[in-house]
Amino acid sequence: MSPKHSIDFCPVCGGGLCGIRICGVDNRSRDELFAITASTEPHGLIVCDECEAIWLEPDICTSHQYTDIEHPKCPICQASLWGASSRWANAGDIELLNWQYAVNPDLDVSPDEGLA
Amino acid sequence: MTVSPERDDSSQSGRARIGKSKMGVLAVVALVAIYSVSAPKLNERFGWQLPAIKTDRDGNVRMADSTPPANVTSSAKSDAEKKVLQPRSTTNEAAPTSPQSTKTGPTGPGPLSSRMQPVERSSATPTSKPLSSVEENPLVAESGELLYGILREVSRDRYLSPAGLMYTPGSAEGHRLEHLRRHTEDDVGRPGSHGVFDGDMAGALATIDRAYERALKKQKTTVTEEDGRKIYTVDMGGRIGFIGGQTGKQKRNPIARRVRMVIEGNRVITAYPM
Repeated sequence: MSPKHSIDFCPVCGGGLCGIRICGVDNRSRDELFAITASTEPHGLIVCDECEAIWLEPDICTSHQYTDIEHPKCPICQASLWGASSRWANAGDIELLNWQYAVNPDLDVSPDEGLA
Repeated sequence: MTVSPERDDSSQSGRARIGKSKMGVLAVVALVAIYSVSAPKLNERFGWQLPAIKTDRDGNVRMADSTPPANVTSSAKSDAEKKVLQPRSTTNEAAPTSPQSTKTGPTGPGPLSSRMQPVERSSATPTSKPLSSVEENPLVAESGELLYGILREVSRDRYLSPAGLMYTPGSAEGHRLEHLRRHTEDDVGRPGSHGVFDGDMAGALATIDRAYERALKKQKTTVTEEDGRKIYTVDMGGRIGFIGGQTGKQKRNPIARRVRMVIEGNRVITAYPM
């Protein structure tokens, strides 16, 4: 599945999209989430959908990191990177993260779902 | 000694026939030669699959069948086709197609989809349990056979290729093989380029193995390494697929002759044509 909204092509592998993911959207309690991430709000990640390079900010000029190949985890909350606690961010998620400024609309896979 | 007019006529017509047949043979030889030289170039340029001309043991010139993907025998292909089974039950919601996407190949779930952990699910409550019995998962019953005619299952859900590449669980699709499946069909709605391997999964796996062998021998290979991950770009010297996606479509789907592979140790993270 391709990201719904991306900020750029992946500078690491060249073939992937650096998509925006939102994590912390599962049924964990706010207290539990706060204990792990020091925030009660979901958090954002930039993830290449090919090589799984991860950025913690919506800026691919910052340093990236990799996660475990077989058990990929969110580097912030350690939940499964592809599990129920996270998803490719939609327009509402990106607003919540306040990352609208980083989105490259040319890379949207669903152009009819525009950002507010 | 005089030659009768009838005999002279017949010898002249015989010579004419021989001359015509010689001309015919020469024309055929010339056409075959032109075809032999131009067919590979046309195949490479336009991505056609014109059959090659080959000579059999008896010296007869024959048209060869279209060449299957390298290292994939017909028996391997038939095995591979047998292995593409529909899971009996799955709730996996991974890899739904985007509204724009137009798939040109099979769109059903792959043979590993029944084994994959559910991802991208809106509910936090799991709705499927791991499959463990022959009754639940048809692939278990076929253990011992080669997946896609090339991969040997060395432990649960971990598959080893002849060249030594390992395909393991992981990725948004739940398994690296299911991620690779994305690169066996075009995704015309995907922004940028989307490399598509020739030959479905069996062809893709065989091509990746060949690329890995070339990479290890450093044949036409560039490699970058970071944190234990290696990104190989291997020139395969000929068509191995085509460029799809939005950019590929704009460029009329040019052929791809290079493979890019992202590998950690011997475990494949992704691989795609470019």
